[in-house]
Amino acid sequence: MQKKELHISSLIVQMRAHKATPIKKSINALSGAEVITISPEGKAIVVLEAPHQRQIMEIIDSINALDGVLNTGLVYHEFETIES
Amino acid sequence: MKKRLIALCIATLITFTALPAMSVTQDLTSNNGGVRSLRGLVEISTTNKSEMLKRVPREQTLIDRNYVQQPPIIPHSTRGYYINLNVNKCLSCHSFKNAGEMDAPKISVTHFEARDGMMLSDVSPRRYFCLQCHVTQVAAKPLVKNTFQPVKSLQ
Amino acid sequence: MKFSRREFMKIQAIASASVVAGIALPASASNLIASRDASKIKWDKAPCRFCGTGCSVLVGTQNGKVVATQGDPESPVNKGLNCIKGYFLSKIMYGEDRLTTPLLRMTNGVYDKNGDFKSVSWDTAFDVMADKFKKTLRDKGPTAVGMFGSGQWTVWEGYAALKLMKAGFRSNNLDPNARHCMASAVGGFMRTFGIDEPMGCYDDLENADVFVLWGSNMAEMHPILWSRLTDRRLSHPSVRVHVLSTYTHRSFELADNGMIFTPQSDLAILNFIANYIIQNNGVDQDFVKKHINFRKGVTDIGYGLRDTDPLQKKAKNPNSGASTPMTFDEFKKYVEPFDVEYAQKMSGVSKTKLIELAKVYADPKLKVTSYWTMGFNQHTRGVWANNLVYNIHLLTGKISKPGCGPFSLTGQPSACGTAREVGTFSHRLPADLVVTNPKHRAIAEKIWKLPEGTIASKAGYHAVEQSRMLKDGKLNAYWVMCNNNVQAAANINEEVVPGYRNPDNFIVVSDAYPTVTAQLADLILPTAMWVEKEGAYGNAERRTQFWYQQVKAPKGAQSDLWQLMEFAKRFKIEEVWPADLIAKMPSVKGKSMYQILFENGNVNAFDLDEVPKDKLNDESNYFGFYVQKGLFEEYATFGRGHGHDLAPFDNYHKARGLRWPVVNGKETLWRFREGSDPYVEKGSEVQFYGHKDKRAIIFALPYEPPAESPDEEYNLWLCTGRVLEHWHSGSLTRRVPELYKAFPDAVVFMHPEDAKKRGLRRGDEIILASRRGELTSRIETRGRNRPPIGLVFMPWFDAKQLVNKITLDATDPLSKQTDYKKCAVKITKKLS
Repeated sequence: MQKKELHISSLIVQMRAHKATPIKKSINALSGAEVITISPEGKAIVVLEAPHQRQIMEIIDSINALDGVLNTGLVYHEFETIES
Repeated sequence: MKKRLIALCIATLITFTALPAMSVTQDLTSNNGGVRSLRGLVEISTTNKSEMLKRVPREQTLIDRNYVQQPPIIPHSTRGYYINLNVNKCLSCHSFKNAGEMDAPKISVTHFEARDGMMLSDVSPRRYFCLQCHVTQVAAKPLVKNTFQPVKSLQ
Repeated sequence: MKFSRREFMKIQAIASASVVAGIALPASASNLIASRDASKIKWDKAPCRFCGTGCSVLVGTQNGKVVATQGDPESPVNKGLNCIKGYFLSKIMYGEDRLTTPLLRMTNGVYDKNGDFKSVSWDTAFDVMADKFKKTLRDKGPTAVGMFGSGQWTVWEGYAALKLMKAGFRSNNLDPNARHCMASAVGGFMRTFGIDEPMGCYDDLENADVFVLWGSNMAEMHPILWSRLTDRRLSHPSVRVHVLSTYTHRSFELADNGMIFTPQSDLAILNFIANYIIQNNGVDQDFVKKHINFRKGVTDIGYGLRDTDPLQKKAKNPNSGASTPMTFDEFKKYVEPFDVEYAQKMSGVSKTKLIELAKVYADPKLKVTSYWTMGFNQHTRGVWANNLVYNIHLLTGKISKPGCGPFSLTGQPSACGTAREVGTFSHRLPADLVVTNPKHRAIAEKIWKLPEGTIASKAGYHAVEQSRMLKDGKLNAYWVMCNNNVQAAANINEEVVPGYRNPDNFIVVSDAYPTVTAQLADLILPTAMWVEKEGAYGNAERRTQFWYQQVKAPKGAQSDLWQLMEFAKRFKIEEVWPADLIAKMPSVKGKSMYQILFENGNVNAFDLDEVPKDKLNDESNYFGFYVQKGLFEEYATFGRGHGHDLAPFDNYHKARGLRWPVVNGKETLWRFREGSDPYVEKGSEVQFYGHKDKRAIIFALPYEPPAESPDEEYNLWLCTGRVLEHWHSGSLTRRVPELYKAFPDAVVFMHPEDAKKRGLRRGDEIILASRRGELTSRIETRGRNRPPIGLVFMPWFDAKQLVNKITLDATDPLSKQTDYKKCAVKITKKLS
């Protein structure tokens, strides 16, 4: 029996508002990331889901690296261990 | 036998609390009027018997959280765990690097975030002193029952 | 894991982010949330209920109850972090013994001081209470009526209490528990700068090169500020941390230079540093020439004990804060004897360490921030200690700029916002005004629309004096609100219990829980707390923060604000004011005190419909207007345009707090500095505008011994204080099981050799005794606090072990704040 983990995080991503569409597309393309909403001012809520903490960090790094992203703020992180 | 002992304890307790309250220098002594504080019903002008030092059990099972944002409680004793300029004993098991090997819960990835929102490659220094948020628990009954109810899905 | 669990986590994640970002969720996401009733958590911001740091938290409510709390990532103070107490805020309102009905001491259905507490209605409670207050006013006049309030009151509660006492009852016997906490800081600010509260702000934590902790265990008492300091120290390896205390504690874990000094010798160390700065060319000559005056203070000022106390009789200039001008050269000469040898002899700290400390102040290249809390303030020379630390920052010009400054931390969430800014002290009015100044009284009377001469001209009884006057029978009708003074005041046996139990006195205690103070009351009023009401707190960096009511209080409990205003309805103005005062303003005739104070056109200026539709507001709904807004706006007129400017009410509900003065919508980070503080004139660089000539004062003040020191019989110092897990008297935190189990009972921390000398081992039951009383406790020889030989430390949170039976009610003669850090005790093994 191996322990598996499920990590869920939410981020606030601040971006240049005029680049919102391509950024949304890029984030949604990342495995485990989902844009919930983007405000007209360029603030987005993103939820991340991954089996490992490292992946969460990697996704955040990838988002940070996107053109037009100004800042990411991690709001929430929670994980559970699953027996499988 | 055990029952008798308890009965005896209660009897002493009653005599103890029923003693006329003594005052050091004043005639006016306290009178709690039957209201119980965290002191119990022992008069303020009287001296309480002190509680025994309570111990943190060496091994405990994981303690459930009341809400998901609550920092997990430490289910083991931390006696002799140093955290200072040179060393952080907690991270020797719970760090990202060591947790797997030590079979200890990993610190949450929120701990990697710096004050300005940047994600760091290691624990943010602002989270360095673990005991500011995570505490151990002695074996003791709560002083007063707390009626807090977690949300349904966590019950 | 169940699917619903994962979904729940996602919903939580999304909801948290949406609250923080202030973004409404799109229909798709809200459907996800709405689809599961059980998961619906409503989030709203509130400042933490505990210390003066002023962290913002997000409070999650569901079905009228708080179900979760978390650090507010949007708050500049704490950026998403909380300490362990803050994380457990969600449980503080739910102790099973919450008070829900007024309790009156009765025998056979009538009030009896020796009776047992019986449940009564609010009507009966206020009838009996009003009767007692009226009788006292008739028999003895306003000076026999008094109130003890709180730095935990919301801004408007403090303000309503101030109006009720100082204008309504015309009694200045109103003082907050903040007197025990930062009165010496106030005294220091007023004396040196002529205006209260720190010039700097928490942003200094990200800017300083060196931090010096003078009598502050920030790691436990201000954990979030400590985390910011730790962040700075660990991410900038050149940053240094110096920690001074009379025993080793958690803040030493980060100390590059930790110093344990003999109690009271901080005065000698501070003067040594001033001397060192002058001798080693560390003085910023230009700054001193332009911005500083020098004065020599009067000495031998006594110990704030009763006038009949031998120590007090011996003093040459009891309670005197007088001073005379002097020159820089005279000051230089004055501090010359305070060389490193003297400082070492007095303090026991090595010369190397002392010089290392002095150097950081003297080096013009280093940005230094000094922090202190109760180490300086709870000190029989507390105002002096504050003055002396300002001296070293003023000599070097290290003040009012990023990373540089002296900063006094506060222990209560609104010690600054309510106690100091509102002016709930026995000598104060809002915005640094004082009752003893006729012009100040006139300003207050005009704003309050009251006849000239309403406010009494003599300062009232301060905290310690209130206890003494209760005992002496001069203060007879007394209302204790939002504090636990029987546990907090010094010398309980001799100076507290007798006053509460004096048959001439009627004592009312308003609290959420039955405290030891409630146990000594005659009437207990059940009180709403924290997010059960709309509130405002002001933290240590001048940041005013608001919150909305988020849940209803338990049925039967009422907020302090409701109690203060509703009680005022019980008095016709003819019952409280003399005829000649009423004659000056005939329009008040026949009105109730409530109408005159709270329906004056200011307080009731805002209609109920200004309360947002989706927000609870029990008081406003009851009184019929937006009570909090009216009180705040009337209060704010005191400070606007006078260096204490507060923003319009509605702004605070949107912002994560704003630091005053807020001028043209902009908050002020560093006061007295051109470019940062709008009150500083162009081209002047720095102006200490609290004083008329816009200069700060450096005071020449010596070392004087403490009120009581160990001797042959009482051969140990006792220092009292707090712990991380419990807040003050523990009436909230000890009702949270997790916090209780984290630090269950108070213990006496002692050096292992001191224990051995007395035949004691860890865990032994002991008798701790002073000349005033004794208690039993347990010895702890290891753990977080490690006292040196000759000193013991005991926290005061434990209602079963009232350490203030032991402490001495000696106060700073200028600030009237008690010295809880120094008295002489002995410890013996308790034989069972």
